[in-house]
Amino acid sequence: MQHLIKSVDAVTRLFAVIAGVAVVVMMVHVNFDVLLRALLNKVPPGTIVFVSNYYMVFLVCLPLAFVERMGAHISVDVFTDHLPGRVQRRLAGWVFLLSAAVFALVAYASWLEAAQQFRKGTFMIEQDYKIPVWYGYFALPIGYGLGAVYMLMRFARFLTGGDAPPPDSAAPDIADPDSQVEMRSHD
Amino acid sequence: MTDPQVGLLAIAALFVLIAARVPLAVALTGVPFVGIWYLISWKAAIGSLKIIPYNFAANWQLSSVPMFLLMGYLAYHTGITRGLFKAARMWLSRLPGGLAIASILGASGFSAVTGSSVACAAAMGKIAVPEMLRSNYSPSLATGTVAAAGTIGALIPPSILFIIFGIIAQVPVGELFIGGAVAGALTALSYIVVVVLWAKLDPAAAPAVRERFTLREMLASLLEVGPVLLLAGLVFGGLFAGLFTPTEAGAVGAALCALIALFQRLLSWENFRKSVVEAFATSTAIFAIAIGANLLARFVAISGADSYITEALSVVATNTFWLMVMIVCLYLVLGMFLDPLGAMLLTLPILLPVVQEQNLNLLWFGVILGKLLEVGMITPPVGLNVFVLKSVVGDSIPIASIFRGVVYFLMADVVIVGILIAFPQIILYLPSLMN
Repeated sequence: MQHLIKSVDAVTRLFAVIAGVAVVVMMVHVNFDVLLRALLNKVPPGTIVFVSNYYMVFLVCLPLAFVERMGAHISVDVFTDHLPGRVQRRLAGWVFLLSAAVFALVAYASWLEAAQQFRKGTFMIEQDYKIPVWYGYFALPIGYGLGAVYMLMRFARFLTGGDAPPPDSAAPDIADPDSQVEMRSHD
Repeated sequence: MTDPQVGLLAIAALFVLIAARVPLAVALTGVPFVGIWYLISWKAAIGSLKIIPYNFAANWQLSSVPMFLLMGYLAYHTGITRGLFKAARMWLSRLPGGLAIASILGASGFSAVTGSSVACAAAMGKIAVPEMLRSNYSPSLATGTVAAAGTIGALIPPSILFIIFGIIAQVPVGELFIGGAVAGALTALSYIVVVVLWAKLDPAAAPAVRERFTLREMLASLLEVGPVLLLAGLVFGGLFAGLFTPTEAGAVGAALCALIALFQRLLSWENFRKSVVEAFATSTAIFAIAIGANLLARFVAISGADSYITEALSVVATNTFWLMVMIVCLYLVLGMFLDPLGAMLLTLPILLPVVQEQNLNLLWFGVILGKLLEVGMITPPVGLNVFVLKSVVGDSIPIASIFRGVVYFLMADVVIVGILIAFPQIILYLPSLMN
C-alpha cells in the first residue's frame, strides 16, 4: 500500500511538471508567433493547433490529481463547518468516493473518444502541413484517471482509519501561506 | 415527472451536493451526467462526456486564461508592483485619508496587471495596511479599504471573469475589458469618496500624516511606477492597436512581465516556479468546473428547465428592472458562499437563456455580473478578500472589525450597481466606439 501511495504521488508530480512545461512552452510559442508576424509579416503554421490541442489539454487535464493534493479544487465549506468533527470527516470520506466515481466516468468516456481518434489518426491541416492531433485526446483519460485513482486512495485511507484531513491542510510543499490563500480563489 | 421537473430537481440536488462540500467540479459533472442518463440514455450521457470536456479544454481563445494568470502571479511574486503604493502615498498623503486613497489607487494600478481580486488584496494588504496602522489609522478603515479595493482587480482588465464570460456568452472579450475598466474606475472613485467622507466625519480614524517629501523624492517615486505602467501600456496598447489579439495578449503580458522582472533583478527561479505552478493549478481547477458547467448547460437545455424558469420569472419579473433586481439579489446571496468564478459558472447555464430571452444587452449584463460577483468577495460570512486581509494582518485585528470597515464600501457598491443598471450607456458607450 505504502508503495502504491508513493508511486501515485510520483506520477502526480510528474504530470504537474509536464503541465508546468506546457505553460512555459505555450507562452514562448505564442510570443514567437506574435513576433514573427509583427517583424517579418509571416504567419508560422500551427500555433493555434498546438496551443489548443496540445498545451491547453495537457495543462488543464493532467494536474487534476495534483490540484487535489494542493487542496485547490473549489468547494464550499461554510455549511459543513458547523457539523461535529466526526460527521465532517465521514462526509469528506464519502465525498472522495463520489469524486473518484465522477472522475472515473469522465476518464472512461474520454478514453473511448481517444481510442476512436487514435484509430482514425485524426490530424489537422494548416498551410499544407499535416499536424496529427489525436495524441492530445489521451491527456483527458490520463488526467481524469489519475484524479480518480488519487481520490480512491484518499477514500481508502479514510476507510482504514487513516484520517482524511480537510483538503486545505493537505497542501504539502506548495509555496508560502499567501499562495495557499490565493489558490482558494479563482476570480 | 415531466422533463422540466427532472431538470429543476437536478438543479436542487446540485446545490445540496455543493453545500455538502462536494467539489464544484465533481457536482457539476456528476449531476448533469445522471440527469442526461435518466432523461435519454446511458449512451447519450457517455456521449456528452466524450465530446464536451475535450472541446472545452482544447480551446484557443481560453488559452488566455492560464497566460493572464501567469502574468498576474509573476507580477505578484516578483513584486514589480511594489512602487505603486509608495508613489501614490507620497503624492496623496496630505489628503484626508490619504494613505487609504493611495491604497485604492495602488490596487487599481495592480489591477492592470492581474485579473484576480484576491492577489490584488493580498499584495496591497502586505504593503499598505502596516503603513496605515503605523500612522494610527483605525484598523477597520485600513483593512476595509484594502479588502474592498482588491475587488477592482477583477474588474479592470485583464480579468479572468470577463474572459470566461465572454467566451461562454459570445461577447467580444475586448469590449468586456473596456466596459470592465469603466466599472472598475467608477468603483475606485466611489471608494475614494467613502474614504474621504469617513476621514472627514471621523478624523480620528485617519489622522493626518505629517511626513513631508521633497519634490525630488516625489519625482523619483514616479520612476518606480514605470515598470508596471510599461507592462500595462504595452499589453493593452498592443492589444488595442491590433498588434495581437486578446487571446495572445496574455502570453505577451506574461513574457513581458518576466522580462521586466528579470531586468529589475526581481525574477528568481523560486518565484518563477511558484507562478507557473499557480497558473496551471488555478487553470485546472477553473476548467474542471467550466467543463461541468458546459455539461449542465446541455442538460438544462435537454430537460427544458430553462424555458420553465424563464416563464416562471416572467410572472414575477415583469420588466427588465425587476429581473435585474432578482439577479442582483441572487448573486448577493450566492456571493456569500461561493467563489466568484464558481458562482458564475454554476448560474450562467441557467440564467443566460433567461437573459437572452429578455433581449438584454449581454455586454452590459456581463459587466454588471462581474461587479456583483466581486461584491460577493467582501460580503460575510465568506468574503474571500476579507479572509486574505485577515491572513495578512494576523491576530492583531479581529475579522469582525474588517467586516465592519467593509460595510461602508458595500454601500458604495450598492450605489454603483444601481447606477450601472439605471444608465447602461455608462458601460456601453466606450466599447461602442470600437466598432
